[in-house]
Amino acid sequence: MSLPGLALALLLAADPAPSASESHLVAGAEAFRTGSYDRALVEFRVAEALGSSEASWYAAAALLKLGRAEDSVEAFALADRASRSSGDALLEVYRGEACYAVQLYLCADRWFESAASRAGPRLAPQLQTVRSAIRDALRPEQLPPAIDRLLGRATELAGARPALAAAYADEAVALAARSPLRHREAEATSLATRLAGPRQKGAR
Amino acid sequence: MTAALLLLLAASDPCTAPPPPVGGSANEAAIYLQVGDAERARGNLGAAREAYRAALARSPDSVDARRRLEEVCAAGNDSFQAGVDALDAGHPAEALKAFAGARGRGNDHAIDLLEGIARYQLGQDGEAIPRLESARSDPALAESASFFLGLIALRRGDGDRASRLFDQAGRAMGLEDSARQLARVAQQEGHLVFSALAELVYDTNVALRPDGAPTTLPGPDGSVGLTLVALARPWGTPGPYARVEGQFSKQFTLSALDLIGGAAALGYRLLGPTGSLTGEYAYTLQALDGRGYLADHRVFVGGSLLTGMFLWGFAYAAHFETYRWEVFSDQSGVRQVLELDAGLLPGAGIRITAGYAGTWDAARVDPLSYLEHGPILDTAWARGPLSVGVRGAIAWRNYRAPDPNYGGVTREDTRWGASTWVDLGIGARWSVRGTVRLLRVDSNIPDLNSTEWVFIGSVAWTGAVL
Repeated sequence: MSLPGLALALLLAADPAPSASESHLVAGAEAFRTGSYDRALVEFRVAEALGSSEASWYAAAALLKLGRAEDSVEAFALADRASRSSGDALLEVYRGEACYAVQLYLCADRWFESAASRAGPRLAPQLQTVRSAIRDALRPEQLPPAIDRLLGRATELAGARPALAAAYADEAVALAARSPLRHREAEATSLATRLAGPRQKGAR
Repeated sequence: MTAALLLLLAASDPCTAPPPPVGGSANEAAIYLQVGDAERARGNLGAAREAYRAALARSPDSVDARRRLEEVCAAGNDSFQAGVDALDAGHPAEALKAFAGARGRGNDHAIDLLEGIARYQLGQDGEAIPRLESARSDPALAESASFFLGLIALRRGDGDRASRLFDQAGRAMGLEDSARQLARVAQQEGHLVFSALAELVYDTNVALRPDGAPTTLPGPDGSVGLTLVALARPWGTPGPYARVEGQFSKQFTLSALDLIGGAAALGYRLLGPTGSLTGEYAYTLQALDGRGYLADHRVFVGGSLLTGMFLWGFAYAAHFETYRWEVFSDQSGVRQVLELDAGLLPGAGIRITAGYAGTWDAARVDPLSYLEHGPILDTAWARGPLSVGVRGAIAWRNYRAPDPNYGGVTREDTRWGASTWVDLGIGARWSVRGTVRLLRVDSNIPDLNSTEWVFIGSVAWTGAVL
């Protein structure tokens, strides 16, 4: 799973005069490749501060690798708001994993589906397996308590971390649409609309 | 499991080597400091250390960078890290002291989880539950917290709740195998548990016919069997329990060996975080071919203790046996069995157990009384719903007195036993198993040498009703 970082490093290493932010991107990618995710995160954050929009996506991936799945979901959402989609299938897998880890199953499924269409022969079957597991997990009787949990968490985060709260609210909206009695759908939609942040043109 | 969580939560420590100077602008050093501050505020001390170290490498004279690096590197002052280290080293009480000073830095849910684990390890289930429930409210920690709540429910004998919690834990990548296995165990840990075992058996030497004996003597035969068990644990575990069993076996050809049996047992099980102790009295009555054959009063004591990766076990049973058929009545007496073993649990689902077993059978007449002893080696591997095992044993059996039925020779046997099995769990309640067993007897009385192969296919169902 270190391929995005490696590809980035190779790409940037070919540039004869990388900018300041790019050299930190390369350093972050190299640290990511060797599994030094703390260092990778720091380098990506520095690159971000120096103006790299791509760095935000890689920082989100590093957060996932550090076991901070909720922070990763938030970082991906913020990266999404700040720049157009990365378009990288493996970053989409990371984003799906982050969603899955915090039980945002439809979010996970959406990114796994997107990645699966461009994934290689080894990854595609794994993604299909996870997507099947997600379908099994979303039994109708489990939807109302899941929606309650998501809305509770979204409300809790709405003030301090609106991008993360929006991810929970969006999931609640999607689950409510699937629940037999449209459990708390209006409330979820209202909260999601309120939390929806500005999106760049062309963003997913 | 705990080690895996600790690996996940523990941060690497870049404080051990001084940062080598790196070219870069003062502006870059300032950005590293800002990134370090942000990560520190989020509770990610590992990234904060990396950032401060990078700042110091670019600005070696920066007092700010050095001070902040020293602050986050002071492991002794980092209560969270100290707690993680203590838990990792197997010192949960020490970890609790450290975690007490680590709250209020934005990672309280993680501390709740680790405190819950530490208290679970100390057997403080009542105090562990609220902390694990708190951790469960954090989606990133929910599965891990559910896993340990399930272990507590299991320890309390609430198999149904444990089963549900393991079901939740099983959704997390990396926890599926453990959770699935424990969900099966949970089905056996309710207040009232029923189980049924149906067997199809083929035995090449059902009556232990000696080698080279006339084929007119009973030889190979097959059978079907059914065993039903009901187990009641009104207060869960630890606590008292009662068990009732019924057993039925029908031979395909040798109807004289058709078996009907029943047993009732009363026992008490003590259970701690690393050990267990069980005491039990049981009465068994068996009938062959419709006639009462054997009555057995059994007293049993057994226990185990886990220290690191070793599981130490002992089991002792005294059988007060009465054979009701006149022809076998001389075999009646007291048979005592003792087994001591040590198991190695190296991880990856592997268990290797070595032990020594002895039997002292004081029958009514000396020529039928014997002392038997020998080593046992048992290896098992489990992964997900599949488990595989191999067991081998040698027993040297020496009878106490010459046997007039064999020309006044005192019988001495060597008994070789081996078995292997494959078990596949199907859901939480069903399992199928295939077993092959071999028993070879080599005696100083050649007429008693024999070989027996037994092939068993079985289906089992276990379910907690309450």
